[in-house]
Amino acid sequence: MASELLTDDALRDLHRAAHVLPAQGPIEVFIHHNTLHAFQALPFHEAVARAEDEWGVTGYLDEAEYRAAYAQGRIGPDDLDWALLRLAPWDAAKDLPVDARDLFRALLFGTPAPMSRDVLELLKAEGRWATSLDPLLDGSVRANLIADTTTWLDEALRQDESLLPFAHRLVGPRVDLLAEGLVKRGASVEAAEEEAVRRVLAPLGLAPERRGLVKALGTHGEALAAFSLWGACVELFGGAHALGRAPFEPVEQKATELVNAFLIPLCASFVDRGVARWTMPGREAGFFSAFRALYARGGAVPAWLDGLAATLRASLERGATAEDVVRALPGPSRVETLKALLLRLPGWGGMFHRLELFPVEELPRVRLLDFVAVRLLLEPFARAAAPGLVRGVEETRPVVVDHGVLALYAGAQRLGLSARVLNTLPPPRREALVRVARRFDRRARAVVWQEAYERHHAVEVVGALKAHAPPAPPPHTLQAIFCFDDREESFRRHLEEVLPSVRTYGVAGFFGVAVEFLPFDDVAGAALAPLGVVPGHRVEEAPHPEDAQKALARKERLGALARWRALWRWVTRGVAGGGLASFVLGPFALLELAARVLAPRTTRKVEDAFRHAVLPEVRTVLTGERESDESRSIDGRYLGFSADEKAQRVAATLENLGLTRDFAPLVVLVAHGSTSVNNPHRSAYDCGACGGRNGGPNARLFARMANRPKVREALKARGIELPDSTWVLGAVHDTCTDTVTFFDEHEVPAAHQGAVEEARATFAEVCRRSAHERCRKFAAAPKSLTPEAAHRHVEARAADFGQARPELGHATNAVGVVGRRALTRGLFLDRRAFLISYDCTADASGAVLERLLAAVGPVGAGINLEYYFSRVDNEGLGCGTKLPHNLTGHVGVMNGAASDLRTGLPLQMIEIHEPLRLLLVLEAETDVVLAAVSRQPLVKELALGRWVRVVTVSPSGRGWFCLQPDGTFTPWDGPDVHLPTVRGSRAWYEGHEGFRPPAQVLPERRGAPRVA
Amino acid sequence: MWRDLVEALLLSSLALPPVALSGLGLAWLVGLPVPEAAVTRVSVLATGLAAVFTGAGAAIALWQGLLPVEFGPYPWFSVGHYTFTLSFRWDAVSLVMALGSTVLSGLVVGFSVPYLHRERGLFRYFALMLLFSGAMQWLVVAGSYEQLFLGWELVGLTSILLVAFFSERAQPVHAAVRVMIVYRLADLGLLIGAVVMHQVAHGTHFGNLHQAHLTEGQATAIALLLLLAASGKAAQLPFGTWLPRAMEGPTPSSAVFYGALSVHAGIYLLIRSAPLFEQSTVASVAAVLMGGTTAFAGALVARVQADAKSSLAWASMSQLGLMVVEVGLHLPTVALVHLFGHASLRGYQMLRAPSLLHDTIGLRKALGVGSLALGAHPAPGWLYRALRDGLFIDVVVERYLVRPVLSLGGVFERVEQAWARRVGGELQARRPVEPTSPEAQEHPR
Repeated sequence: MASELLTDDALRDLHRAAHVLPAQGPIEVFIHHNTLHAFQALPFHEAVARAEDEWGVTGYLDEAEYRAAYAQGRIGPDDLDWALLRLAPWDAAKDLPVDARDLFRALLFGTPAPMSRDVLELLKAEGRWATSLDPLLDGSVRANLIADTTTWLDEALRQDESLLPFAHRLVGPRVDLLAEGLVKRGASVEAAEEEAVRRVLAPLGLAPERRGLVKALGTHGEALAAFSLWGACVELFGGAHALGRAPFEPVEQKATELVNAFLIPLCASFVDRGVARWTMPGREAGFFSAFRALYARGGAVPAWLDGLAATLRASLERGATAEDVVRALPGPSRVETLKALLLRLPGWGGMFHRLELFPVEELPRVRLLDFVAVRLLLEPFARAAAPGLVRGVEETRPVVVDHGVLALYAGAQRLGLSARVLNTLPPPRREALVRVARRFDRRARAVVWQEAYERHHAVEVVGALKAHAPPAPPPHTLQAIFCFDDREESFRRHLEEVLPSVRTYGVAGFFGVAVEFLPFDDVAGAALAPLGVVPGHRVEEAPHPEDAQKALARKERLGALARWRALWRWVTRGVAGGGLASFVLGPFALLELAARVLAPRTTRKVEDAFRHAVLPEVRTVLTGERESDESRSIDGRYLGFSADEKAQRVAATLENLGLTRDFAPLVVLVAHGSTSVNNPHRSAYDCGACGGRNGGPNARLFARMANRPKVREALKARGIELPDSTWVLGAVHDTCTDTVTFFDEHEVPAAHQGAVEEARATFAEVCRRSAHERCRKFAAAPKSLTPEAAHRHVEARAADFGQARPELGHATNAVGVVGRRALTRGLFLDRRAFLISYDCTADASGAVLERLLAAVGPVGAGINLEYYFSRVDNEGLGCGTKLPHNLTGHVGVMNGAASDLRTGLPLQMIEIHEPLRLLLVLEAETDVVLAAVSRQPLVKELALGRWVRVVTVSPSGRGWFCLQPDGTFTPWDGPDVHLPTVRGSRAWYEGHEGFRPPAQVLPERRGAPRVA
Repeated sequence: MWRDLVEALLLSSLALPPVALSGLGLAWLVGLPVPEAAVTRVSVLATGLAAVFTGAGAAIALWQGLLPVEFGPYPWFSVGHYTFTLSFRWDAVSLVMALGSTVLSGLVVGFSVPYLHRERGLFRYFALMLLFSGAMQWLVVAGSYEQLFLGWELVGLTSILLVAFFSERAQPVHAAVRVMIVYRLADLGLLIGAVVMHQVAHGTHFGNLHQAHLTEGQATAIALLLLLAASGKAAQLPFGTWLPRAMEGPTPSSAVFYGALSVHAGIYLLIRSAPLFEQSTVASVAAVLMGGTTAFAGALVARVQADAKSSLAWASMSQLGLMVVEVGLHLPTVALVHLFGHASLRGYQMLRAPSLLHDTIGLRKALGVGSLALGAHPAPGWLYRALRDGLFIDVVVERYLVRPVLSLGGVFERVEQAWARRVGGELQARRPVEPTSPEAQEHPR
């Protein structure tokens, strides 16, 4: 493709325009990534600005939400001042009539939400706009505003016979314009003046009559103060035309609607991977050709497409290609045209783009070019027909009122600036006001709010980490290695509370074993590795030789069952079959529905028991050790790992963890995955470090590798003494049901069986406690639950097919800590922290840190940023509420019967998320960090572009530092915080629903229930 | 004694959803807080108990051999010296249907509790579900056509409002308007049919349908009108294309309306009217033709749908067509059993529509194939084209029905305007909005 790109302008332009498209692939694997990846080379705030302008989305919360966070104490006054000092437009704040900081604060708190011109006109017409002051105004400020205004208006009333000066003080010179206009239409001067004043006063419900107006100064003081202030603000911004008016093109919108409605079902059919029984003919030739072949043959089309068949036939005869269609666009504006075109259906365009770059088996030839070419063919028809179809369509797209006017109007009230003051200010000061109101616009304010929000969080977390001094734990009896996933934070904490002699570690959940894994009951393998890592090895799971018979039986029964189900799927959609199915299956469907709705958990247990009874359990083995370098599997991957490669992987991971000696008798590797039903977004709950899949096989593989005597030999050569008295066990944690399953238990040597049994009991208790802690964040879970009931609750969630929130995923994630566990052990981090083990004392060169950051940085930032952007603009950057979602073509979901493909996370996954960029705390010296960061371009981009906030803590005690965008470090300047101490996590979180600040959690006293 | 108990049970089952709805509505109206838990609990309780009461009533009635039981007539309102009465009829047909509809509504409401959790429109959703479930029961046990009409209209109304549930987007609203237009047209059939029957048979009670002495012509006219009504509600061709477009609301509402209950109300009307079809060969043939066409067309079009919900919608249409055929063949009992089974099966399938992908992955694995396509294969071009475009029904209806009607309307409008101008002299069309503020004056919109 690269050479094509060089030679063909059109293709190059398309490639350039394609960055407006979302990068999400088929929904079966959901890999979290930075939604704004296209702009990642820019610093965060600049990237957000670009995305807002180009994509028409919002990159920050609404101001109302920031203010709500402020009201709840999630942002403090100090944080706001801190952010204002750094980010407010101080350079514009010269010659202000008031203190600049006061003005900034007034604008931050006062400015109303963006408003459309229509709404403004409506409010005015109903006398509901600018007829009362901000209800939150301080009492004395309000009184002063009113007194000042009424005195000033009173003056005008007494001064002159005419009411014109009075009206002038209310709305400025516009009353003159109004009168002039009336004169031009043939009214007499007196009549025109009176009419003009009448119209000015109408929204206030006042008549143009002197005595009444004098009285009104007393009775309508507030309304007059507000009204005149609004008038003065509008005047400051240059009169009414400054309120903003954008051209609206209903014809354009109609044309887009026509094309979209026609194109969406076609796209869906083209990229369908198996929903439809009959697929689009000619797909292998590409969308453009298939479309042309279908529609060149005539047949009825909607009226606006009259002549389509003839056009397509002509194109066919000319032998025109999709390239030709795109090339026909005028060169200079081509990129912009293509961008605009793609943004009319970004979800579908993005899927074509993605499937072109990463083809899937079912779809041979998907090209964005084809998608664009078809759209280009249809557009002229729609444009020609649209004018005739737009009838009496009123403006529907909101025209946003100039925010500056709204901001100044609100800000002036808070600062006690009356209309009199504004009107009598010397010009430089007026201009300064306008300048600041303009410069400190929605985006600038949002930046301040966002930074203040994050500052508050940083102060809380860094303060806690600084104050935290955990007691040394007793000598170890168990070591447990987890994924660094934020959901395992609570699990590890509870494990340490239940079993103080445990040591826990966090590492990317593929455990350093990037592999293409083929499960025993599948024929297609999957890459279990983080995004961007291409596995060079393939491992296959096969039945244990002793279980070969059972395996055969299992496969046969599974296959038979599946054949029936596959058959029924189509039978129920047919005529006779559907009838038969209604008679035969209908009653059973009703029973099943009732069982699943009324008793989801029990139904699941019954199902499991049934499966267990019908399908024999089969022990399996994995591809054995590769002896030579000759054997490569079909797709160019080595089949199995050689002993050396195994040792290399085990060593790398153990070194990353800082776990190279002092092994406990039992080391458990706990991968994770998530079970839920009726949930197209299921994969988004799985392990991000395993490419959006269950990481179980990785843990299992790692454990098997580490138990090989040959590997242990090789490890010894690398200075890692894994003694014979240590057994490594693989396990997987279901983050939805909170259950832990051990792998290959039949291989555990007798000497270790006792330890495994103990671990099982410990993990069972931890599961219950973890479930209990999770339940506090579920609004629908009962408020007081025993750990056992909580565990049943989370199990029911996983089995309930009406459950839109089986678990909360990574919601609320905000912190990453790379360092020794001593930094965080016993610290309540509220399931918000990615915890990555790293021992800086054994890594003077920073090589391990670099490796860690390269692997963990993009995964953590990807998760964090996807949650961030889906949260701040759930319609624009997330996929909205799940309720109307409609699975399409096995590639994604639409809203209802036909819509753009929805990408990003659904509302149900992000609603309790606090959109904060990841606070990455690194336990290492600054020079080591800087060197590691600079060597990894991706990490550098993220760290220096402030996509993640990097803070370091020096192991040698030189303190805490913040990484600045220019690559320098500044000492941490946050205040110290008090860290409460509690016994047991439960004592700290129980009875609380919202965020809980960090606390030092000591193990519960002896005598408290331990392992059940 | 047993009869009184049955009456109490069945009438309370009928009253429960509307009472719950009024309670919630009143609380909301007077400004009491109505938290989510209250809304969901009341809804689950009302619909759940309705199902239990219906079940108990049905069991006792069967056990004691009370069927058919008819309660009433209760006077409703009077016009001149004619008094409209209400009566409720539980016979084998309506009991099966009542049991099915209360159980399915109850289960779908139960499903909706976690599904709708924290949704902005939650109150509206459950209010509409209660209204629907009450209306559906009313429709089922109504003793006469005009009484049924009331439930029929409310079912239609709730259907339209739930299609437009996400009214902040344009598409659901367009779809809802389309549903409404079809419903309005079709409802004319029921309304006129009921009036005609009143005129010729002096009453529309279902109990008297067998004894009504109608000529074949009268029976044909009424049956055809009712067939029109049913074809709108039950999405029969050529009206049925609204059904796949109606999949815009929350998944459970789509399931209960277009998989389970609302669409089957049309079939129920035909089953209720079976005696009329028995008297009219023409109407029976019409039913068989229409239903048969829909059955085959629906099943074929379903095969090319690339999204889960459209595929199920067309498949539903197909089975509904088959039920219309069964009525046309004078097999109302078969149609009733078919209806019950299909409502359960399709309702369940629709609720499970989000599972399709992971179900397919499971099948792919178990079948030992690499692709998700599972035997999907290309269709011949001409066939695919026709099916892809829904057999051109929409296009044809739009071109040859909607547009001509609209242009005719345009012609009439122009004629009328010209005429009005001549009569009324210089009547200038005023701008509707008078400028009220200087800004608006300065920049006329």
